[in-house]
Amino acid sequence: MLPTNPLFRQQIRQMPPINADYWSFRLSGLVDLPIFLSYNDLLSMPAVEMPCTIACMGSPSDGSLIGSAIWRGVAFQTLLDEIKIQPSVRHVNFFAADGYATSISFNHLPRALLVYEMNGKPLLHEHGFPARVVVPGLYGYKMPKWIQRVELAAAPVTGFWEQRGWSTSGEVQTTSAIRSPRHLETIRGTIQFSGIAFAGNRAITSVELSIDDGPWMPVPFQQESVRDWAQWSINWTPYSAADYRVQVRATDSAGFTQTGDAPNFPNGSTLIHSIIVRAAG
Amino acid sequence: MGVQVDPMQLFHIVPPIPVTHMGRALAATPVLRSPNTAVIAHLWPDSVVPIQASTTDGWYKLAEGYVLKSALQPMALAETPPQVEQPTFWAEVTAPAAAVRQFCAVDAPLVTRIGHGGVAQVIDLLPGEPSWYGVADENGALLGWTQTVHWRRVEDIHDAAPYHLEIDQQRQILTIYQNQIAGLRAPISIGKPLTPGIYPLQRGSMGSGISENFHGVPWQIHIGGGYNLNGVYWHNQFGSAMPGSAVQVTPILARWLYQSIGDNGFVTIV
Repeated sequence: MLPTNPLFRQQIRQMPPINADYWSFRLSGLVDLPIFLSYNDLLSMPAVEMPCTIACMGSPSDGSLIGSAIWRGVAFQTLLDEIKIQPSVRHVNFFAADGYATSISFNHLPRALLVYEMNGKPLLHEHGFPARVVVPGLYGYKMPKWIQRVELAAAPVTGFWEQRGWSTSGEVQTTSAIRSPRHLETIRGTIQFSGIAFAGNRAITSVELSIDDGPWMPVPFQQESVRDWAQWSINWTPYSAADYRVQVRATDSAGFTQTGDAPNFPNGSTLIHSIIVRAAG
Repeated sequence: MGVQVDPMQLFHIVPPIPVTHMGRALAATPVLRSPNTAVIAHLWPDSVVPIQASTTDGWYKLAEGYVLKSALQPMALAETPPQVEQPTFWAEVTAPAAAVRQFCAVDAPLVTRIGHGGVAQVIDLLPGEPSWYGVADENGALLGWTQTVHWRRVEDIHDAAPYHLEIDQQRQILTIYQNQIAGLRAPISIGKPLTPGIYPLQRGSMGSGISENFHGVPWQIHIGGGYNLNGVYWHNQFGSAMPGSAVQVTPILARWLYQSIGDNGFVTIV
């Protein structure tokens, strides 16, 4: 199976300089008891760990902007238990230190984490130190880095990407990709194909490969948590030294199978990933 | 109801037909530890595996287990390795399958896939890495482009031997007689009911499309009444009725018949 990839980075502005000693986090809005946390307050709260895949909505079909990590932080549910939420709350508006803003439906917040560690180490600055939001099942643009303020609200803020026409819900579409071999790589003998599949809050139920537009063949995969990508691997021995087109597609627990005709904009792509592999004689 | 006749009989045909003991998986194929027991693996569609033995109850024995005979297509032996040749000529698919595409690129839209033993006329060549053949449809127009490595030239050999065929529709058996002696008996698939009688044989196209889905259908022989005998590369259920052309045999046998039977031969349909 694949090792955990280095997580991709996407940001709209320069990384904001943040000193954790002076950083604070605020959860407020339509609540009776807003919360203010310093970095040390955050570290001292009951923490949970959660493997979770983050996918960029603009990721090419090769899955190069999809990554997975084990996140550690405070469950938003823990914070919600303290603040007395007002009945009119429908949305959650995020505001980050770099000026980035976005919004999610309130329904997603109880599953989200306020994260300060990634893969057992404090968040790197480029991944959002001192804290970022991780929301299972949504695209990465709904999980701001360098988070400073979360407001529960009756109406959503129109965020940076939403203003440009991208989905307001940000729910991850079903996707899969071949990670190895690379496109146009030459291989001698048996070829090991491996890759990932992910469907946000839906489990992966099937991963299939097609070689040279032949029939789709199920391949074995493992998905330890619905929040985390499925990883798959299979060996194939070509009969002839030739170039072969190899495609992968996934099916999710809602019964949806990837198609070949959904572009990234505005809701995220379900495009089938295809590579050419060169089998050497 | 099909008869229990071993398609591997083709390996013992007289005169010998060059064949291998390799089989092509026609689809995703379960491999069982022993017949009618647990599935231990799956073969990929178009993967090629050695056939170690054949049972009388419908199974091939492989190194790792057993598969149903209907799931594997016995493969012909390529007497010569594929090499790039100048058009125009006829060629057969020596690979498990050959993708035919709209233009010369591996990721170009697919036109069709022609299985092992399929035959098409090569009418154009684009040398390169990889090199591509332009193959023709049944009207001689360009059907699409396919990598040359999957194909091998075949000659229009014509031995004109005085053979006589007998097609038994009920038992789905083809018997080949020479000098009134049965030289070969092979299972066939009847796709359409035939009118009993005696008909002259006439060679048709070496490879032709018979529908939108099936191109390069090899070694067509007219058997009278507007019906044809030809090879099929998409199933190995000979001995049972199958939809499609009137009389279906393996591409290996179809090729031998096409090259061996004179136009003055005849067929008795019973």
